[in-house]
Amino acid sequence: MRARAAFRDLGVVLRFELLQHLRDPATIVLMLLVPLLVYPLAGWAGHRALSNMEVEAQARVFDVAVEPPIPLPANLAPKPLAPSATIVATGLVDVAARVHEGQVELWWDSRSPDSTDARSRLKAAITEHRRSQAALRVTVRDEESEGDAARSRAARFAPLLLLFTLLSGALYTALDVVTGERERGTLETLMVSARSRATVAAAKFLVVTAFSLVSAGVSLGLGAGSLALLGGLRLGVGEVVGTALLLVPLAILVAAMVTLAAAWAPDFKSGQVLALPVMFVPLLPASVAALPGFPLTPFTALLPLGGTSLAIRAVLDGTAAWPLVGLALGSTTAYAVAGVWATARLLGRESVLLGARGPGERRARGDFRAEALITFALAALALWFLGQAAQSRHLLGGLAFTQVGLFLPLALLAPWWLGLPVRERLQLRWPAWTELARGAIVGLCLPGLALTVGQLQALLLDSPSGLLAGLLDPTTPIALTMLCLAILPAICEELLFRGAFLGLWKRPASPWSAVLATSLAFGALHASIFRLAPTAALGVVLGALALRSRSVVPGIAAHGINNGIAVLGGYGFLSLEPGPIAWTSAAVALVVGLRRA
Amino acid sequence: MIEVEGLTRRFHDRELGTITAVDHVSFRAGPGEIVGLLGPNGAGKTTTMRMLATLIVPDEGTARVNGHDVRLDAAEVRRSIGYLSASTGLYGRLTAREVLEYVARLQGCADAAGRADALVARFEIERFAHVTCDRLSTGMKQKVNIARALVHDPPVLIFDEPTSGLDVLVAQQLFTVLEEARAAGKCVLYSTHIMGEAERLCSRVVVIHGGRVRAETSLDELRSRAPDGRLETAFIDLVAGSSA
Repeated sequence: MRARAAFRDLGVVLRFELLQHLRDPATIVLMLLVPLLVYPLAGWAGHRALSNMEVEAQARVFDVAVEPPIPLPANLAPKPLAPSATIVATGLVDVAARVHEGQVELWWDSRSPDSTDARSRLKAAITEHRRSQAALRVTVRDEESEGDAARSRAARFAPLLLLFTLLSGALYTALDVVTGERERGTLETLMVSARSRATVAAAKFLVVTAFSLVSAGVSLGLGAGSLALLGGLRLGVGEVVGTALLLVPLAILVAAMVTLAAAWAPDFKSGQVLALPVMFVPLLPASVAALPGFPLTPFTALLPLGGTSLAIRAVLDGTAAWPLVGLALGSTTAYAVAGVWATARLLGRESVLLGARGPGERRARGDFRAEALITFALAALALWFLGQAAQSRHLLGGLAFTQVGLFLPLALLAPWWLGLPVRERLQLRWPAWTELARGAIVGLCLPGLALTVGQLQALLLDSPSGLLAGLLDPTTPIALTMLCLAILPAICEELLFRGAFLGLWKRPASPWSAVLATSLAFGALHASIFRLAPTAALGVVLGALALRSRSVVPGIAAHGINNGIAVLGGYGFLSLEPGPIAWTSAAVALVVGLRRA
Repeated sequence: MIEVEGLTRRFHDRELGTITAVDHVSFRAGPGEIVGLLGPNGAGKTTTMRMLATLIVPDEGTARVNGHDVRLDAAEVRRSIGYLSASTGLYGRLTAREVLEYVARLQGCADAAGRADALVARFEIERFAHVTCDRLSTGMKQKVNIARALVHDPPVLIFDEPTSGLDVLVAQQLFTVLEEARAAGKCVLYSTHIMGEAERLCSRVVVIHGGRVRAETSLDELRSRAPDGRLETAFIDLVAGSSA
């Protein structure tokens, strides 16, 4: 009975919310007219462009090496070279093939469009030759028909377009139903009715999801229609249904994200300012579907937004492994549930409902989490745009510049800019000797923890070996390498993360959530999917050390010793391999480092 | 009908630090009376009324509305009240009648459409009942908003400075509605800083200033405190005395 009453209440709010939003011209434009007008035009223009490119490509002559020689069309030029992967990789030919005992082995560079086109032509020539020699059996890797190529191209960009329409359909609606209604006072009118806040929040969330889904549904229908009419490609029922199924949790996740942003914005104008990053940031992980070299795997299927994008691409280009698609669907559903939970919590707050919150009120409560995230974003931007450029000129000099010239000033400026006591927030105080000793012990054991986490990660993600080896030049004096890779990062990164970031984050949050947030930021700043988990694990222990000792110094000691050991390993003085010693070290690091005061 | 005991609410401000907007406020309002909540701007009237309407949660103290605790039984409190303030808005893209029907459904009225029609007739808003609210004048909007607060015929009315921006004709209609409510045995809590409105409507007043109750008394007793026997003088003396 209670469930029925709850659904009835939800239906009442939903009906009138939909009614008033369907009367909003801006909603209709964003939800229907954008897909209706933009996609046929984009599809037509894209089709014309692809057609022109194909005509141009047909006219181009590619170099091939084939043994033994077979008859080739005029746009393939045979070269007198022995077929091998090397001659393709070095660019001597676009494609190479060898016929051996009735089998054909093909080499091409899938990253090169020319090589891919040349492969298709050579494959057609071999197939033609095969018809005349029935005994020949052709086996090639990445088999792809000519007709599939256009579908494959369309499938690469479809996830981005669909996500864009989900976002454009959801964003304005979310801003209107949360921020706009708060400003117009209708949220207060709803809140003084007998319906529960959960009902009101759920109805608003459903409105955002519905508008988002309709927008993406129109896009999917138009996209399928455009492919059929303009490209002569037909999507099967399974492909459309599979994509639509993947869109549902994606739409819920997108709705949660934009509703959270809308609730976070103190007013409609701030919400509009937030709109650009809110539209842009989700497209980044989703763009993996448009990039070569990112197949749908058990690991990539778990990437937020990226996993679903890869799954949609796989469904649309007909290469879907359904268990992996199911995994992507499941992970996105889990993220969506987490998003809904976070949205429900935020929408239930009186400060969000009544607009009482603002930077002044938030900061007065000691809540500097937004500023901590801004500090992290600035550090990331500085690293990517300035640090990487400096490191590409001179690796060790660039690393030192990144630490001393970028991270250290940010760490010191962030609390100063906010008018906070710098020494207190950065935890710049000398700790007890026992805490320093604890830091040293943990530092000795941290390499074992990183190796063990890396070993566990390798079960899911095929990590390249020798990540540190690329940074080390054996001809460089070891003292200089120690300075740039161990001492400076230990001081500057600890001040930035366990000092500024943790210091800004920890006051309103629980200590462990602050440590977790700091660790994720610490891992993310190392800008490598392969280093994220090991670095974040180190971050957890370093954060716990800082919390316990109320000082940044034990973390500096632990961080420096850890990096120093890695440098010694890189120079060949130590052997750093996963195994029982590493596991034991990891256990000691966790037990000693995470022990609470 | 309204029992308030030690109600307290604090806010935080970076420049001003912690502000106690409502500081251990206690008063009572019974059925068949209009109690005025008098105070200058920033006195704590709106915060008190928002706590009674369950829009915000008190930090300390208790309040019961129609027998229901504002913390423990918020849904029943909201079912019992008609709440109107300067910041309660109307859906601009719904018509006046649609708003009334929507709120009637939200409040669980059995015949929501019939109730909306009855209020359209009672408040004489037939002429613009089918016009979307964003095209209505301020006075028309406030008429619809008053009807909205009464749509479920609640036993308690909480009206927070409802005449701000209203012309004299609409204000008169509001006063009539409130007097009818009092006659029907409803409890009305009416906040204002306009003494004339209090003299017209209220039998008792609670004077609030700086978040604290400075007086809870009848109008006659409050007037008698002033040398000239005027309510305005008594109010100013009270507020000035508590500021000193």
